[in-house]
Amino acid sequence: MTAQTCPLTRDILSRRVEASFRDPEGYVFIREGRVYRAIAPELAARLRRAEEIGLLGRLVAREWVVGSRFVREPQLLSFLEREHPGWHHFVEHDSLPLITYPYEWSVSMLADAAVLTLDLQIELAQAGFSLKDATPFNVQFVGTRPIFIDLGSLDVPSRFDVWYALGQFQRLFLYPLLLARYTHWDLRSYFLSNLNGRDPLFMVRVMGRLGRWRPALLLDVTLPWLLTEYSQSKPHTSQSPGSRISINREPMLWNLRRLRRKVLRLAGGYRPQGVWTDYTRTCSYTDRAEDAKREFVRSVLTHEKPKWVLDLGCNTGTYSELAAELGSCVIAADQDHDAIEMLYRRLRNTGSAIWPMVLDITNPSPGIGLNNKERQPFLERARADYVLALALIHHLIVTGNLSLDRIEQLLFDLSSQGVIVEFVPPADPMFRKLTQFRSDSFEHITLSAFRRTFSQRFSIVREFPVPDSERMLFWLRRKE
Amino acid sequence: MARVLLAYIDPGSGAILLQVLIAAVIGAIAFVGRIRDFVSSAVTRVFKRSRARGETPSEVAEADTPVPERKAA
Repeated sequence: MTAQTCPLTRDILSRRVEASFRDPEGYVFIREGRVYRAIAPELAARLRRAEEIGLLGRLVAREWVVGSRFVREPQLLSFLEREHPGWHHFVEHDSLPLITYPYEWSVSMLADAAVLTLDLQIELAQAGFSLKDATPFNVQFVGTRPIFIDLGSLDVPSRFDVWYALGQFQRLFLYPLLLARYTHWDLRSYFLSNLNGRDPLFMVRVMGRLGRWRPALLLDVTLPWLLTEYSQSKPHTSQSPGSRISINREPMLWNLRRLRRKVLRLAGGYRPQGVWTDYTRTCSYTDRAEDAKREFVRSVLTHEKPKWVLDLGCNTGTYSELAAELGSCVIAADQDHDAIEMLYRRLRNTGSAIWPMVLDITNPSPGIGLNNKERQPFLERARADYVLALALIHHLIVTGNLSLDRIEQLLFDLSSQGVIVEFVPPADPMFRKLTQFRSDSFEHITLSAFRRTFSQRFSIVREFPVPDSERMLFWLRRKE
Repeated sequence: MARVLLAYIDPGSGAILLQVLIAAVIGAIAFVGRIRDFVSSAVTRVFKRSRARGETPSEVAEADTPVPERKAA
C-alpha cells in the first residue's frame, strides 16, 4: 500500500476544524467525512485565477499541494451555502489519513517542510502570487512526504521585494532548526510550549553574548534583533511598508534561495546521537533470535492484514518497514528523536506508508492551543488495528513506572483488533540494565502474571518463546 | 491596482526591515553592475570604432569623447 491510499485512522465527524480560525478569509470544516474550505470572494477569485493559469493544477500534480477542487455541483453547493450562512465559495480538499504536528517531527522532517514552503513561495512569487503565512502547521506528511495543505494562504501582495511571512518562517522553521543544530534544543519542547515560536530577542538571549555573532545567526537572528531594537527606538510613523508597491522579485528570490540552502545545511549538519539509535547494534539478541522474532511478527501480520499498525518504540523502524512491506499503513513512534531522525532520513521521499513520529506513549502529545482544541491530542488523532509493542514493556515498567494493568489498559485503548507484545522478564539483561540502580523489586513481573492480566480482555492466540533468551512473544486479539 | 494587505500574522518588524535592507543591497549591486556594464560597453565601442578607422584609441579619445547614452543604460 502506498501512503496516499491509506485509509483514515479515525472516522471524521461533521465539524468545523478547531485549528482553522486565524485567517479571516476562510475556514476548514468536515462534512460527512469530506474536507471543505469555505472561502471569501477575494480568495475565491485568486484561486480561480491560479486555476486558470494552470498553477494550481501544476502544484497538485507535483504533490506539493493537497488535491483541491472548487465545489461546483449545484445541489451540494446550495447545501453548503445553507449550512454556512454568509459563505458562497467552497473548495473540497483530499482528506489526509493522519494528522501529525511539528512537535512530533524530527529535525529533517521540519527541514523538509521548510523547504517545501520555500519552494512553494518561489514558484508562487514567479507567477505573481505569495503565501501570506509560513507555518509548519500548514504542512502535513503523507507517509514520509511533506504536502502543503493551506490553500487559504494564497495571496496577491502589493510588493514582491518583501515577503510578509518571513518573520513567521524564521520563528517557526529556522529558529527551532538553529536551536536544534547549535544548542541541542528539542523540537518537542520548542513547539509545545509556544504555538507562535520565539522572537529574535529570545534567540539572542539563548545564544549568549558571543554566540549571537556566529555567522549562521547574523542575517536571521542578530540583524533582525538589532533592526527591531532600532525600529522600536524610533517614533512610530504612519507609513506602512504594505502601502508601497514593488514588482522587483529578485531580492525576495535571492533571500528564499539562501534560506533553502541554509535549512538543508542545518538539518544535514545535525548528528543523531541518541542512546537507542545504537540499540540494534548493542541489544542482546542473537541473529537466530532476531530472525525468529521477525518470522513470528510476519506470520501474524500476514494472517491478520491490519490496515493500520502502530509500532510503539519502533527504534529505527525495522518492524515498521516489515509491516509496510506486508501492506499495512504504519505509525512508527518512538520517544527518541534521533531514532526517528534516522528512520526518516532512510525513508524520506520513498512513498512508503510509514508515518514517523517522535512520541512518548507514557506522555503522548496533549491537546493544545485555543480551548485545548486547536491541536488535537495524539489519542484523538490516531488509532490502529494492531499495536506492536516489541522490546517495550520493560521500559514502560521501569522507566514509566507502569503496572501490568496499566500497560494492558494502554494497549487495549490503542488497538481495535489486537496486539503483538514481547514479554521481557526481570531476569533479562536489558531489564537488569534498566534496574541496576533501582531498589524496587520487580519480582511480581512474571509470565503467569502477564498472562493473567492480558487474558481478561484479550485472548492469547499464540505464544512464542524467543530463542536464546527468556523473552516471550504474545499474539493477543481483543475479545469482542 | 494592487491591494494594500498586511498579513493577519505578526510580520515582525525585524524581518521586514531585514528584507528592505536586502532589497537595498541587491539594488545597489545591480546599480553598480549597470554602471560597470555601461563603462565596459562604452570602452568596447571606442575600441571597435578605432580599429575600424585604423587609429589608436588615444587619438580617438582626443578626436571625439563618447557622450554617455542614457537610454542605453
